[in-house]
Amino acid sequence: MMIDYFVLATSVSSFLTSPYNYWAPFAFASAAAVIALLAIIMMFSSFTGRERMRVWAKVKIYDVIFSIMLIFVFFVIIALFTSINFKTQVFGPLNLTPSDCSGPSAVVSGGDIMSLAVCDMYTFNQNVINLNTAIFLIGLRMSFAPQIGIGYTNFFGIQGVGVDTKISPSAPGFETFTGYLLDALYTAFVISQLQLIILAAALLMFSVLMLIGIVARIFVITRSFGGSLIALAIGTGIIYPLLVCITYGYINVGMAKTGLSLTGAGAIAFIGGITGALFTLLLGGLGVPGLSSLLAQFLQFAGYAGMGLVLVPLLNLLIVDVFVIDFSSAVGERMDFMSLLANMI
Amino acid sequence: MMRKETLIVLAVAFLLLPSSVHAGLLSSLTNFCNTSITGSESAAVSSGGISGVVTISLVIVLFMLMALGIFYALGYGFGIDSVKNFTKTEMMESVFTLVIIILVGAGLAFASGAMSFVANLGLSGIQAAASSFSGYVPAPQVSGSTCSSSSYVYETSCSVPGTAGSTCYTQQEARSQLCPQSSVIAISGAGGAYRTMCTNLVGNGVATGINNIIPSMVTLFVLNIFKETTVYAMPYGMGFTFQPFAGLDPVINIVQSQLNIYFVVIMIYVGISFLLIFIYNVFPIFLYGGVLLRSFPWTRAAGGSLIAFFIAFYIIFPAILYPFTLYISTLNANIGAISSISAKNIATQSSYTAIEGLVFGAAMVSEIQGFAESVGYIGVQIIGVLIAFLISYDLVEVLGDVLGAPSLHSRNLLSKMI
Repeated sequence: MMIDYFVLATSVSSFLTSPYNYWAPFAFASAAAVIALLAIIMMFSSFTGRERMRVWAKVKIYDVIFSIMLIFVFFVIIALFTSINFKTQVFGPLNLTPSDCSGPSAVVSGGDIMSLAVCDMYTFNQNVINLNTAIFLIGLRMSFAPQIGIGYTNFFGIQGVGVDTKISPSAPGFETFTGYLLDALYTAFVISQLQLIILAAALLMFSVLMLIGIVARIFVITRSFGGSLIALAIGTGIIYPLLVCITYGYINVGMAKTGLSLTGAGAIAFIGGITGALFTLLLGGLGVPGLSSLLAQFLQFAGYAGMGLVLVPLLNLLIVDVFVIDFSSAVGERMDFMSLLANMI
Repeated sequence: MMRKETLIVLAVAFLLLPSSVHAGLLSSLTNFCNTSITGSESAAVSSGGISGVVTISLVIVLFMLMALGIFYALGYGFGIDSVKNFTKTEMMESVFTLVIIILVGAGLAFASGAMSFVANLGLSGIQAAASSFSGYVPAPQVSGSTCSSSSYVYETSCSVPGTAGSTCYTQQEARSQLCPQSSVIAISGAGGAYRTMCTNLVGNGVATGINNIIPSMVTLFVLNIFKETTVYAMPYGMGFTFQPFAGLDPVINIVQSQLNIYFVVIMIYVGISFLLIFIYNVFPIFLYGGVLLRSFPWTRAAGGSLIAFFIAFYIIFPAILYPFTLYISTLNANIGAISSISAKNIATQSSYTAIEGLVFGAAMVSEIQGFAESVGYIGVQIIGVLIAFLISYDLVEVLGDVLGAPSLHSRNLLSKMI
């Protein structure tokens, strides 16, 4: 699964690393042609004494020059983003790069912001999946709790006269709670997985939308459309991954710090330990070593997961939406993509 | 095969065993608050790596000012009014960003100061409430003198009675020395306030949940045993059986519902604690990132919204929440854990009396009352979170307007998304 994301994230990298080979010549040639055309209109309007047309052509020439400037700004942004290793130079010193995303064994090797964001999101989702699996297995194991029947039916020496009862050694009410918890976690996980898919396409969206946007912004009639695409490209391609690196980086590092391992032998030990403790909670749970620390680890891990599943997506999407709306208003047509998305859904 | 008496003794033993299971858990969680919220300010603020962002932002703003000057000259030269107006507006924005950078460059002392000021405003009210709380026994007249009887100062909530012959305390001393968890401490820095809130939420909120979950589980355990109890009167294979407590289902359902709510209580309190930890450690990065993004005209909206989020949620949100967590602490210290249901009662009474009391008598009333009080804790805390959130949210919108992210306000985005 990760390989698919990785391929998607890097397959368009040539757009990003060598934009001048693909579209910059076309963009500059188009700009030159449009400026030439507008200059002719300006001269013609001067000869014919049509002042309004002359002012209009002058403003449009300024707009094209501004678009050319945007192309250069785009080059600077590309140079900046391809020269910085966000893993080691930016988020590493802040302790926001999880161990799964740093070093030679990282699931995504690139140090650019998009790769790091994909890695952060992927790591978080894996943690949530592991948590869900652990909760499911804990609930499943708890359902295997044997019920013990005890009784005495030989009172007064008469067979068949007496009393019996049944004792369930599992913690009462826990199965119901794990059911609710699983429902909530799996529902919220859909949003998280959706974020990963969007992030995996961040590089693609940035490259393609920026390409179309800058070229479209050169032409007079497609200027506002181009501006909106540029806003969407920067919002989804840079701002959103940046926010994911900060927020999910912190959450992933925090999850790792809890010391709870939910994969391999660690998961087996945890599930075994906690179910064993819960089985015997009422029958001497104090004797199970480390029960309180297991529960504390579990609560801390689940707390981070809850934060990343509920609050953080809202916060990130809100900021990206605000950026796209205001930025698109500044450079093109106002675009409220979250409202559009909500209306479509 | 065992005798009925043995069964009852075994059941009572079950009740007493897990009485301190939660102690280690609470201790671990409280330690987690202290290790996650370190220093007097967020580590992100003092980290060397990020402080360079201020310098970078300063360079960018100065560069922008220079570029805008050139643009203004071009606009003036070509006679394009729109360019001139644009550059004028941008120059003002850049100067505003410069002011923000200077404030940030001076550290977050201003943020801590602002937070302390707002939070301390609420403390006088809490102080008064704590002083007049009926849980405190009137103080002796002379501090430091020898108590002549045990009826002098003691703190009911932490079970520290005054002892004849020991040193007397004033009411204030009793509160601060005998029962420090209910004392009111003025805020001097952001880190201290966040730590206090987190440990209060865990030590009182989560503790309330756990203190009730375990007895409730034990109660369910015992009730289920009673419910399943069958009496046989079938000598030689003929006769009848009956279950004397088969009608316990309504009681079992109530306790089960309480148990579910206590699970939710723990989730809510842990959630708020993590929210505070997250804000403390991550939102300062938003401030720096916001300053950097605000330096560019085209990314001003993102930068402005990040700074707005920082001010509203790093400073104002916890400042408003702080008195509520103290209030919870004071209440919890004076009322104590609510677990009137019969882990204790059943253990200390005969089983039949306890069950009879649960079904017909005061134990059930006491249980429901205790449950309502416990849930009241959550209610107060949730009200606090809601008030703090609403005010912070409103502030985000207003600040968004001021800082160049008008869509936060005009589009009512936050409420739409929520």
